[in-house]
Amino acid sequence: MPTSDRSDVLQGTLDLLILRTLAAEPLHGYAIGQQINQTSRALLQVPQGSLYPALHRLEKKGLLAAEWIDTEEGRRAKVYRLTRKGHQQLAREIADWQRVSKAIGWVLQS
Amino acid sequence: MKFLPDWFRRDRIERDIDEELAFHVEAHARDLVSDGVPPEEARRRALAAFGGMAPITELTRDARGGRWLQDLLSDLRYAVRSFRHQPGVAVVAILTLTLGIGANTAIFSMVNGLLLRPLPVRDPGRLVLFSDSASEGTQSSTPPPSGRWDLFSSEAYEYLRSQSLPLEIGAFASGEQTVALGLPGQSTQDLRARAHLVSGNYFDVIGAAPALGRILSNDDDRPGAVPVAVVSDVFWRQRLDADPAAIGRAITINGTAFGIVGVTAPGFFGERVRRSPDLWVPLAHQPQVQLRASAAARPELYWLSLFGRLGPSHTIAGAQAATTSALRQFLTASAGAQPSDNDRERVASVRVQLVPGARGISVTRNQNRDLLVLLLSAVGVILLIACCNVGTLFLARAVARQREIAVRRALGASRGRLIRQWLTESVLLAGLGAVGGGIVARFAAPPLFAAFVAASSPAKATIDGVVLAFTTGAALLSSLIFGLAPALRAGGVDPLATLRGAGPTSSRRRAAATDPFVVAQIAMSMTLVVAAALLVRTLINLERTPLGFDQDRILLASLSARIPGADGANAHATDARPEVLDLWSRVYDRIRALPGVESATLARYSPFNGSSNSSSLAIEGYVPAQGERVGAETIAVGGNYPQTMGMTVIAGRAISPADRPSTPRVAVVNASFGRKYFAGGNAVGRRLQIRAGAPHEIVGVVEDARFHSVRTSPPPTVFLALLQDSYLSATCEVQLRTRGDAALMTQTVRRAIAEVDGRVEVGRVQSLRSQVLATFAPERAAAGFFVGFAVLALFVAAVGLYGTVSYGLQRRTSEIGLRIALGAARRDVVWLVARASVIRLASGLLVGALLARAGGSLVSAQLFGVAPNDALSLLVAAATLSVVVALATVRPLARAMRIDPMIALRTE
Repeated sequence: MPTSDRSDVLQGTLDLLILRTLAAEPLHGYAIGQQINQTSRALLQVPQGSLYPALHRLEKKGLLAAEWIDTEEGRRAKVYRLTRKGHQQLAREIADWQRVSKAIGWVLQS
Repeated sequence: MKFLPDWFRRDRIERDIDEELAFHVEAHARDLVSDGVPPEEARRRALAAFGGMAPITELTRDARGGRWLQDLLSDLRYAVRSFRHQPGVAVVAILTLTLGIGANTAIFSMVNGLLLRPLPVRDPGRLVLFSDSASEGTQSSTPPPSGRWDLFSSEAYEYLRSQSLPLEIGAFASGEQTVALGLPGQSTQDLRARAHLVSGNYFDVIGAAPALGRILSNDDDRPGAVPVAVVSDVFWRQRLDADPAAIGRAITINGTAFGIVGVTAPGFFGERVRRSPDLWVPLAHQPQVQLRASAAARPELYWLSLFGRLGPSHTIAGAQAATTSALRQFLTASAGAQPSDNDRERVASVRVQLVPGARGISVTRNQNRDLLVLLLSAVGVILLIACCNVGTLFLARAVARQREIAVRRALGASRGRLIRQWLTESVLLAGLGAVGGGIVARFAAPPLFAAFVAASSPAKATIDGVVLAFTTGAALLSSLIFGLAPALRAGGVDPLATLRGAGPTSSRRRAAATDPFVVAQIAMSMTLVVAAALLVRTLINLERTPLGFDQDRILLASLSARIPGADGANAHATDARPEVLDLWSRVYDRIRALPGVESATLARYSPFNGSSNSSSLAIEGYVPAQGERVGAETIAVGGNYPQTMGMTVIAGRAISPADRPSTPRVAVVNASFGRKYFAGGNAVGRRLQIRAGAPHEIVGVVEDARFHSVRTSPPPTVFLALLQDSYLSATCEVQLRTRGDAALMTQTVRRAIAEVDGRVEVGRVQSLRSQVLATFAPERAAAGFFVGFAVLALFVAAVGLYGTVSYGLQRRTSEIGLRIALGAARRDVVWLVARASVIRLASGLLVGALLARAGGSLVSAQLFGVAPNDALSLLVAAATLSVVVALATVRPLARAMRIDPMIALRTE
């Protein structure tokens, strides 16, 4: 698989991506990965396994809440949603990100 | 603390993680299947994309935190399992640590009880004392000429209190007063109570609240105030039936009615750490309590001890400077308008010295502080020995388990993780040892404490929070000492080399690893044995030193006369004197006539009973040097004194029963007195003046005798005639020389004295020998403790050495078998095993001797008649250790002798 037009998720941005994805709707882990993949037009590849330590860490921080629901196939899935604290954190991180990317953009254009 | 609930739900969380990850893989596989991938292949690809189930599970679990606790638990489980494999090692280690930590906890709880625990009052840290020397019952009618003041007159105290100083100053009479007590509605006579005279602000300053009623106030302490008293909790319960209505009732103290205004809180005992007084009475009522003239009216009487409570944000140093300058102002003012140069010089030298008072005053503490600190360092050495012992076992285990460790490393356990695993085992053992030690100390400390502190004292060697903290610290420290070396060794194992090498490493190298521990044990035991030997020799020396009087066959009975106002110190009690004189004469005559009594005498006090009495003198023909204080110890005695006590009359005669108030005043001096004041010339016929009245003519000289301490040489002493002098007092001692065993006469003497006159109260009756021996109690305690410590240390060291030798032998069984098979003589085999012990012993003794020499200065203050580097003690210690090492080697040696080469080689 060619690597030139795809990027591994930047260190530290995985949390931001997860928060943003869950801001729209509650999802389980696999769906989160799929969602990031699709919305980034397959440019961002989240290593599937690395989602879970991140999810559990965010849950422990109180940014996410999780509950087990029964899926249509009769399986139990753990579905995460953003808490109020998570929404605030997301807003902060988006602002940070935009500031940083703007700054980097200026540096690159100069 | 969010990890705690997590931790309790640990199993469920792990299941959840497993299920969640499995769901992911399945969901991915299903998507692949719907894209047309065959199910088997879909599953494989989903798993591969996920990136390995086990590491992700691990990472996810880590992300939840609380991991260290889980590790700790698994380490503990592992430790328990590994000890179950070798229960012998674990049991020996725990027992050794129990002894070591138990000894430390016991001694520390004593240190805590006597040296550290603060008074049970509000904010004790702000209390200061003007003196902690605890000189009790002292009063002086000559002002301390210069230097530090620790006793004050009423006038000086009032002045200091009236000044605005950085501390509030309270006062109490130096010493308690035993008073005759009358209770409401009880006609019982003979009730006694201990009353303490204190200033009106005493309870405020010390910081004690009443449990009932109120504390004393400054108004209670004004001249002419209604007499009131505060009673102790114990007194209220025992004498007043814990009746809340007792407040407001009156009790009589020496015949004067006092209203009870309050009861102190349970556990309060005042400024002195000992049995609480029964009553606290304002200083203003001193005449009624002491049955003496008013001390407040005598500016030359120094009878008050002071203490204070520092105001907020004031320091001791500041308070001390301010109080000193206030005291100088007072002295300058009282020196008058035109002070002499002498006065000015004296005033300038006067100072107060404040010491922290949080822990109150304790004679016992002052006497035993050094010894307790010494004991604490000794048990510290025992704990070190115990640690070395367990360290030996652990190192041996680390070596034996090298292969297991190598496997764990090869399987991915990190170095740090392995070290932590080994330290966990150490901490587990030390923790169990600490529990055992705490139990040992809980039961051992109180009886040991009794060697220092009376059972009635509020100072107790209880296991409180401070002690528990100490024990925990000691356990952790020990686990580091004995656990670190093996742990580092385990962490340092190279898995490849160990597993490839596979065979046991050379036996000599293995022995060498534990050798420093063994040598250290021998060396440290040696220091304790040397110290024990030195202290035992000290005790023997003390008991054998000739004191200048006989101790055997002399019986002492302390008497007091219940005649009101008979105290000789009372200037107004002259009326009672003929009565007392008559009383003592009749007692004396009766005792002398008893069958079995060789001779008898009277004395104000006996040798080694803790009393002493010094007076200023003027000696005819002696010109004191500039600033010299001419004085001597003065003891009033009856007839036949030297004869009864077995003292030698060098010149002239002794005090005789015929020396009465009607005959010329006489005195007998001791040889030191003659040497000091007559330059060795003839003392008989010279005259000396004590206080007012006619001078005393010296009629005889006796040989020096040590009356107070074996360690100090006798001071110049004057013996006066008890039946002649103003020293006549309401208390005295009958001393009699018996024909047979003195102790057998006890009951006879008691009865005989009681028959003479009902007003004579017989106190303690005991032999002079036991009174003298009782004063060696601290030295006996020190020797006893150290002998105990030495035995403990030897025992622990012997167990450790036995273990090391046996273990070493076990590892070398096949080597020895091979040697025998190759024709080695049994003798050579013995030497092979014994050589290691001999080398360890020799190096241990050498290091031990050096250590003992270095530590000698620690004990030197406790020694008498023996030098810290005493050769005999060193020899005794070396011999004892050799025997112990031999004993620890003999059994393994015997086993080595019986090794059958065929069996030994087959087991390899």
